[in-house]
Amino acid sequence: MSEIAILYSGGTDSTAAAALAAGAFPEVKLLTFRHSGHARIENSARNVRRLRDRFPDTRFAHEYYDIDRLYRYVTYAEYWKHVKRYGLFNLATCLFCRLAMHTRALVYCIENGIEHIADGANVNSTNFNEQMVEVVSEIQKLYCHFGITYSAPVYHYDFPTDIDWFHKLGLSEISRGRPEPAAPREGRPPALRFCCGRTSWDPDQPEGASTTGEILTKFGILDQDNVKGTPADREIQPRCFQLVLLNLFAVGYYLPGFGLERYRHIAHRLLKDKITLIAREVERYLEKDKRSRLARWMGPRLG
Amino acid sequence: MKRILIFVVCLFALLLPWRLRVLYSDAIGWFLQAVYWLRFSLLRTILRQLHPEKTRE
Repeated sequence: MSEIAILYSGGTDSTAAAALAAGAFPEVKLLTFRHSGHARIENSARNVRRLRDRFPDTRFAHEYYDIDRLYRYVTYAEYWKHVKRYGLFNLATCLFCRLAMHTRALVYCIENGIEHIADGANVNSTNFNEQMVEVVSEIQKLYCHFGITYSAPVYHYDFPTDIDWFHKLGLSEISRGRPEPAAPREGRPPALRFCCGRTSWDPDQPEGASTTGEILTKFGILDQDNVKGTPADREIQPRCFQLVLLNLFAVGYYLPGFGLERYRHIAHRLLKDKITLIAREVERYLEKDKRSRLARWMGPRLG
Repeated sequence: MKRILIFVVCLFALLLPWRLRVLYSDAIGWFLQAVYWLRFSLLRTILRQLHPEKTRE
């Protein structure tokens, strides 16, 4: 095993995934994506410098790709059929964005002969939509179909509980009633790994870390445990408001009326339909290469 | 009432083409950010007045 690609935003989850991969692979490709509505993607470079300082023996290549047209295709492919079938679920912007990123990463892996890919998917993330276990499972099947092994090494890590709204206000010195941090874990949370016919890699997880922020402090990459949602968190990753439509629909409209189970079921069916379309396009791309539609939708490498 | 309002906002977004939908999301996002910023700024000011000894630079 010589190389792994990581879908990399620069946030604590994907940086923790990259740090765990650095112990198992001599070369780590960090892929950051840009699309309309995405701002400050250069923020993701901050933690790359820290990773390079911490793991001098690992080669980190950080590359940016434009996925705007691909994201548009994933959103609008067979649109009215999907609107009729799934209604407002077609506003699942984060789900489609994630799928566009994985599609671009899949093509990157195929073209560069990379057999392993990982991301910072986390079951406890507040961006629950694109990180549900059904979604992650479908995405690994897409990779496996093309002979690539997908893993989510931080999938079962906890969301930090010891950040209250004083910290989010930037007034941590006032916080007296800071909730208790989660008790240190016994052992290590299991990574979500899919073998896909070959030996998977073993993440070198630090003992006692229960959140991704704690992984990074134990590795000496960050100097504070949990930064999620704080001003420091906004400085290390791109900013995107596209999730607002999905959040309005899911949290403000659908979940109070119909519940999470039904939501997950419909989102899963929609994703499977989209993945079928994507898999077909990737196969056409591999057959026709530059003359396929996917070749036109894939944006250039940036920077 | 809140759910109906959200339904209308989302239904409108569903009918928009790509660029307009991105701009629409951004506009709603910035509007909500402005609301949060006003609320947080007000809270910060009040808390700083209540705890001047702890928040001194």
